[in-house]
Amino acid sequence: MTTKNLIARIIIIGVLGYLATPFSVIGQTSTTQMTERFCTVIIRNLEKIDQKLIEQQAKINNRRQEREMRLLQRRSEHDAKRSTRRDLRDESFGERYNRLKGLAKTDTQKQAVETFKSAVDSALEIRRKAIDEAISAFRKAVDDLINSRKTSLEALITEYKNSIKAASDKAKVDCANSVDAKAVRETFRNSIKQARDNFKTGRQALLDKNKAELEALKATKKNSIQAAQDAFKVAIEKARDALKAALGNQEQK
Amino acid sequence: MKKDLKNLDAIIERVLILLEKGKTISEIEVLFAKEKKEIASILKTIDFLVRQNKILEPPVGIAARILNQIRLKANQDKKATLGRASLFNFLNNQIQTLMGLPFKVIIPVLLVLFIGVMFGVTRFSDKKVQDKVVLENQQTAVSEETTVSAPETEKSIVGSVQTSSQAEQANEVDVITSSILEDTQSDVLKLEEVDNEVDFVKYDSKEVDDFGQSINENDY
Repeated sequence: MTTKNLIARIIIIGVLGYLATPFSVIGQTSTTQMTERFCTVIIRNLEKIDQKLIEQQAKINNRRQEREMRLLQRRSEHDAKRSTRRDLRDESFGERYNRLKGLAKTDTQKQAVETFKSAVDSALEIRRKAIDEAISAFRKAVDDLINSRKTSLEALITEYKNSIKAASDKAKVDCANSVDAKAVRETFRNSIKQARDNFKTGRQALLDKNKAELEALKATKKNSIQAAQDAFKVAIEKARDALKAALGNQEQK
Repeated sequence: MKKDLKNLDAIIERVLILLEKGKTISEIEVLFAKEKKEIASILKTIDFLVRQNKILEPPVGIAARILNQIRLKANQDKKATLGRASLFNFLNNQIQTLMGLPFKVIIPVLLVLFIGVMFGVTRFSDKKVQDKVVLENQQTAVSEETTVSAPETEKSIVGSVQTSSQAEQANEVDVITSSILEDTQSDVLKLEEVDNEVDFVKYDSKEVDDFGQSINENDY
């Protein structure tokens, strides 16, 4: 047997041996490699997923702190404007009242004007108090809504984070148990998608609920203020009629 | 007699011809020595006329000078009408036209009327101010009388003043109340700005959205 024949025999035996190996064995080798590769990627990325969620949550918290500050600022601006309008109103009313007082000739007339002023001052005070209360109630309701929304959102966030963690843990276990890579990956992807959808649905439901609640809050405030204004109008008209009657009677006398 | 006259005519004719030829009167007298008596008066007359003619004779070249002047003026007029119309000439012409006879009369008449009206207005306004002062003085007097003595005869005046005061008071009461009501109603509308505080409820919406999208299945 020559050297050439020996080499040829070895190659033929090798080829025949490979051809004789079952396909399942080759398939097992390929699946194992894929699983190892996916598991490597997933485990490496799990840390990144956690980090990303922490960062996003920190952004939410920062934004909420900013909201707290800006809301206070906005409320302060509104209060200042309201206060300025009241001061101007008082000043204007004072001037008109003095003019009216100047027109009163007799003591009875002067007394009638004083009574009118007291009635107007009282009506103004009642109106102011009612409006301040309406605004305070409105703001408290807004704060409550912010807090309840925050609680609801926190629940959604926690649920989302838990879902992501659960999906990651399952993927890790599956990887350790050498489950089919394709199945591990699909399960993981579906779990993530489900978590995202749940979060989105929960958030939308919360938005719709908040929208209705906010409209209700605005309507309540508006009605309260209008009621205060209507009561004020009645009081002022009553005071006016009383004054005119007093002045008229005095003139007749 | 007729023969003498014919002869005289002939003599005069000859004299005139000689004069035209340049002969002097004294030379002609010598030539007509016989008829000297008959023609003496005629010669004197002719001599006078010749002398007067020399005096009245226009200087040489005057006709040419007049003609030149006429031609020059015609050229100037022609130049003035050539090219673009001068604004000054146009206005000048218009003023000249306007200042024709009718306007020479109308403008002074209008001026006189204007002065008269102004004078009247000044006098009228002065009188009005004076009347007002008088009326005010009268009103003050009436007011003083009513407050001090209020005699029966002045009751109608007092009533009138009181009615005016009452109307003023009633009007002021209406003005003050409507002003307060308008102002407070306007305040109600301005208070709606507080509604925008609810915008802060959803202040973290974007960040929450971003959180929900932070992990995506398509990345795996």
